[in-house]
Amino acid sequence: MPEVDQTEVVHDVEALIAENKRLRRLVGPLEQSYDDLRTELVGASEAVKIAEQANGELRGEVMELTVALGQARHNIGKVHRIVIQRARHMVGRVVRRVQRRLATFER
Amino acid sequence: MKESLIDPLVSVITPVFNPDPAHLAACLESVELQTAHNVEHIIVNDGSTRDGVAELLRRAADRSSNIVLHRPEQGGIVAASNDGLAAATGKFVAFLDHDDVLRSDAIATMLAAANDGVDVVYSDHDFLDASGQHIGPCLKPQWSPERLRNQNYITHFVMARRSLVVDLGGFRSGFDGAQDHDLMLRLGETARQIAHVPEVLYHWRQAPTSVAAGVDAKPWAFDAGQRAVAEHCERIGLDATVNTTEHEGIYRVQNTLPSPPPQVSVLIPTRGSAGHIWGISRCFVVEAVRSIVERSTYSDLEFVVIIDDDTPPAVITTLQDLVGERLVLVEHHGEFNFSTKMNEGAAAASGDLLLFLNDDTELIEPDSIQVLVGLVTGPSEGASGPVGMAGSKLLFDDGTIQHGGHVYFHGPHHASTGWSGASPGPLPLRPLAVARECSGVTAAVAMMSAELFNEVGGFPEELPLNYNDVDLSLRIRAAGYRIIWTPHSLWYHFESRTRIGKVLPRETEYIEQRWAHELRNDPYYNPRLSPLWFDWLEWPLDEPTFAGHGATKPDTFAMAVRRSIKRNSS
Repeated sequence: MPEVDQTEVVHDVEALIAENKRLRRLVGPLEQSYDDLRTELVGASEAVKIAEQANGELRGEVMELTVALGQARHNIGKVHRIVIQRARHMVGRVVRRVQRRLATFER
Repeated sequence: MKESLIDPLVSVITPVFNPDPAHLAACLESVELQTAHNVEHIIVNDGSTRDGVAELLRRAADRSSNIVLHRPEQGGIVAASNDGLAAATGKFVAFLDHDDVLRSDAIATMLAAANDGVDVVYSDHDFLDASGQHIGPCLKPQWSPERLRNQNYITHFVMARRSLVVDLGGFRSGFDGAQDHDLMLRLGETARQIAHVPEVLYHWRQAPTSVAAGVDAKPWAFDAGQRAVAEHCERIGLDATVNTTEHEGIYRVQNTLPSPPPQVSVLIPTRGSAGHIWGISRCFVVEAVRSIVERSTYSDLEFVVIIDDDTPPAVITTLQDLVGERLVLVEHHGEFNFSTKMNEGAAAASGDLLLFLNDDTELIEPDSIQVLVGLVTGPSEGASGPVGMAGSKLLFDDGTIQHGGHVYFHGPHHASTGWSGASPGPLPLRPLAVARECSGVTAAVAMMSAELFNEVGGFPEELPLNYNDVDLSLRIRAAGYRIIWTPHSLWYHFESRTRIGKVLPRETEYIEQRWAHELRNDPYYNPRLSPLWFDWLEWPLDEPTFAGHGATKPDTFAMAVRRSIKRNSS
């Protein structure tokens, strides 16, 4: 059997006692508090999850509105192009008519 | 009417029962104005009593190309359509409702798509309100049998070879309201080829009693649809139960598992990373496995965990405690390469089916694995082929959608990222609520058979970080298999929590070179949808369909919102 270094054992025991004290300070006077803390942590996480999901619902709505807005922008762009196209045709017709008139006068 | 080889006769069949005379007149005129010359219009008066209808039909009968039949009393749309079918003489028959309108080149366009091997052609359609205003289009994917089971996404405009429709017995009685869904399911079982014309050739009027107006208008139509799908499943040898869902016109087909259920090897690549989710720290792989162990209804599972050299021993011990002898540890040495790790895992797996699972996931719906097994073990469907891979609906930790299937349209993308997880998706087809074919799915959660995995050569090791699932998906489809995305298999995916997301230039180059055509032509995403959106957003009709066209570049604003949502949710 190898010899056990008593000094090391004492140190280990002292370290464990110190850790125990530290944990007891965190837990409080009752060990039941530790379980309570764990339950509280799970509850808090659940609350975070619910809040995140509520956020997500709103983000989802923003996304859907963004898509609807994108559709509206597409459609407005299309209307603009139609309007510009028609305006160009109209202006072109007027210009051609004026040009024809001018040509008649010149003759 | 004379039949010609070049210009085959098309019989348009319209059952008529008490429509608004103005709507009927528009319907009749739209057939008269067809640019195709060889068209006969068979109008079946199903005992109409409304003022003005008889007069319109009398005048219609004067035209030589019209055949007007009169039923003594109302027999319903099935009986009237079958009378029309019996009187038809065309090579093709097409179906037009009494208040709907065809585009003037509808039949000519459909004929152009109906080449030798094609038995059925369908087009896109839009909706008209009661005053005749165009409300919006319904832009459809190419032939998708899984989707058709879950939703009649086709409806109008359908043209089919008359011989095929007659052989099938025409419309079946007892399916009124869903007679078109029933016929389309039966056509899909027998047709050699079904073509889709991605053009709005049909204008469907949303009358108050039309199915187009919603489920309340004709609730029996969806009950009939449910029966039609159930009978279709029996005919094709698919052991499944069919239920209606909360979304109108969408069914849920739950495939029964084979007996005994096959073993599933869950392949999880990991290095045991930890991070914060919902305010508390978690070891991702441990929680992914724990969620399956505690919630999954599927029991025959093997967990193949592919670990890096620096995986903490405590993680391995916890996994052993969780799954015991069902754990297979595979050590991966060297640099991170997702593809290599998955291939190493697959080589060590003993299951018939492989479930690819990222470690930053968590099971939500208990029957999610069961749903995927049901899909990948279903029967082959003629020319459509069997299902090669099935993927799941994945949510970010805030419940918004991370993955709604892949869209390969101007590059590979996730569909509808950022939408609410509860949303069925955009109208009218509600793509986020329906199991459907898609071009690819993410390997974050996906299932395929080990046999097919080996047949297609596994994951491409040239792609260590990105696009490996895109390449795998495209190789599966190139081998003749279908890929299904389903909303009924539901998981969280805390994406990019376990490694920094970056794309290597050589990966982009590889995927672009190998699949240039496929990444621009997604058969399950209509070419008339907007590039760079991936939300089924309609691109204005008559506009050129290429990315970044014109002054209203579609990506800028949406991308900013999407980036912001992604940033906030992580």
